[in-house]
Amino acid sequence: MAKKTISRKSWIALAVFAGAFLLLISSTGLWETVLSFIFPTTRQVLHPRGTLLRLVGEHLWLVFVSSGLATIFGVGIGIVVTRPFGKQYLPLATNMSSLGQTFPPVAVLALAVPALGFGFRPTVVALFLYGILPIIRNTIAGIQSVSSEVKEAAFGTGMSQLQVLAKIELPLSLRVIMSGIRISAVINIGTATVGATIGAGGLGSPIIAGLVGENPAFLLQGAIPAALLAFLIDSFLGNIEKSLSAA
Amino acid sequence: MIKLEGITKRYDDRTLAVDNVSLEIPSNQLTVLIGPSGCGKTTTLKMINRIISPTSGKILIDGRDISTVDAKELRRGIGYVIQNIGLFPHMTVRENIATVPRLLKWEKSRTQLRLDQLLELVGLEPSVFSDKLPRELSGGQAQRVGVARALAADPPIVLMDEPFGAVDPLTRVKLQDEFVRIQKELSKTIVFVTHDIDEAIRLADRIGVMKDGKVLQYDSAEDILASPKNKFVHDFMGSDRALKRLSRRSVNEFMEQSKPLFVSKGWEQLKEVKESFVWAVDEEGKLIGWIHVSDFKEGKHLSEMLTELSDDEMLSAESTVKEALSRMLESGTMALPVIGKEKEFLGQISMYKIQEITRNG
Repeated sequence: MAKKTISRKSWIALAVFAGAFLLLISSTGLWETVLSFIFPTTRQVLHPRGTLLRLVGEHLWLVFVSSGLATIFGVGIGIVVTRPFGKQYLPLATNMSSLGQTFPPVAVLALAVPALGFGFRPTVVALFLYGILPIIRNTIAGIQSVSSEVKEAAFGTGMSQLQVLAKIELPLSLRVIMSGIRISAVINIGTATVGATIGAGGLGSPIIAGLVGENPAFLLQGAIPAALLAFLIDSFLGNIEKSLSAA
Repeated sequence: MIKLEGITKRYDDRTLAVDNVSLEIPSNQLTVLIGPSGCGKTTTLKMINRIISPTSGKILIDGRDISTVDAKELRRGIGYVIQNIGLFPHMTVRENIATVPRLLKWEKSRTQLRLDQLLELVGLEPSVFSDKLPRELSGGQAQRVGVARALAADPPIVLMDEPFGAVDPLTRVKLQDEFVRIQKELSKTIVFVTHDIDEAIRLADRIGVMKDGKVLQYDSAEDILASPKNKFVHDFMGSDRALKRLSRRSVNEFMEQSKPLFVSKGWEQLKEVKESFVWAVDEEGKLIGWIHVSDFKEGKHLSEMLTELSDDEMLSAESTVKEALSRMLESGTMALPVIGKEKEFLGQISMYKIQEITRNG
């Protein structure tokens, strides 16, 4: 019972925070007043590409598509390489997922452009490739952490491979997998800003514009919502993770 | 009946775990496989439900070659209790036990009924334990749930791999006692692996002693204790074989009837006593002590001559003869009284009788 009240409280806190965030990014007037006050010498303090709300929308869509794909493929690969028939690919998957993390995201992006051009698609591909690795790693770790005794007992009761996966291995590793998804999504929110360099839009565009035009007001318009968004998504997925372990 | 025909298991690294084992495991009996670690007893057990497949040889259950049966199907008909219990940590006690009924697609009401029945059978109050998670249970309780899960769909065969290995000695003895009671009630075909010789002797109808992948001797528990085939079996059974045999005998088999004295009644009863002493009971027939006949003097009331007995000096009918002997040695007496559940006097067992048992086997 105690656990349930705690999780309800954290959901309410999250909803309040999300509401405040929404209010903040839709108050264009507020941004203009405050930024003009901080940077009185700057002529244009609001990024002209679109409203903040739209930029956040673009950004979220980039992250949602790439992280969604990364989750589907990451968990899928993690499951396949821990099956008897996929075992031979387990070392490959483990090595790839640790190696992949050492690549800087900009490099992945640069490599994606020649193949896919500019804009939304190459950015999603880059984010997908970068985001899939923690998910694969955590899925493998989660499934491998299920004790062999529990699995043997499960097979001993006459469960099929699929039933052991669905009823034993996945429920027991769900929390670790979820935490991989959370890490991946949060990394992607930050990394997605880089997408603006190849015209994918999102919160990266005011940041890039601010850097190029030496306009710190633009920079703040991108950086502050991006940071808050990362925090928001992190708590959202964190709450899901916690409610899973309480069950 | 489970029949093992020339079963051999050689692992990929060429180690020979089980070497040409043939056994006939009778139905409705408890067969123990025992031996030092690495002797192949667990491997042998796990080949019966195909967790491990033999390199060569055949296993038949009621005449049917198990390699021709679907493994899932086979396992649903065989209860399985493993060393560290292997309860599913994310499922409640209820869900754990209901695993096989669910796989067999039993109706909800039937499963529910069975759950309560099983929890009571293993001595756990359903209303208290049903919704607990495994991590909220003590070792002994978890073990009981493990046994209940194995028995859930009422399988004719149950395989148990050191099921009581992970609990403290006190709990272990308690679980063994209850298990003996359960087996008496259900008479399943049980194959039980252990390295604990006392446990084997307590539980087994038949014992197979294994070493280096081979079965050295396979006999009834009594025969193995009475006539070990070779030095290894002899040494493995221990130098106290005679005592161990006594632990398989219960007191009520060798109890002698004797007429107790009612303390509340008159001294005339003493005239009928032929022994030098007599057990004394109160008006309800409950045992309270004993009386030396030679202490008798005219006019003395019986209660004045009474020597009271402590609980340690009374045996229950279910006690083993070994226990009786131990109590006698402790209290320095040649005989001890046997009582029922309500402390009512049932009879006595004497040192003389115990010697007779050990002499005649």
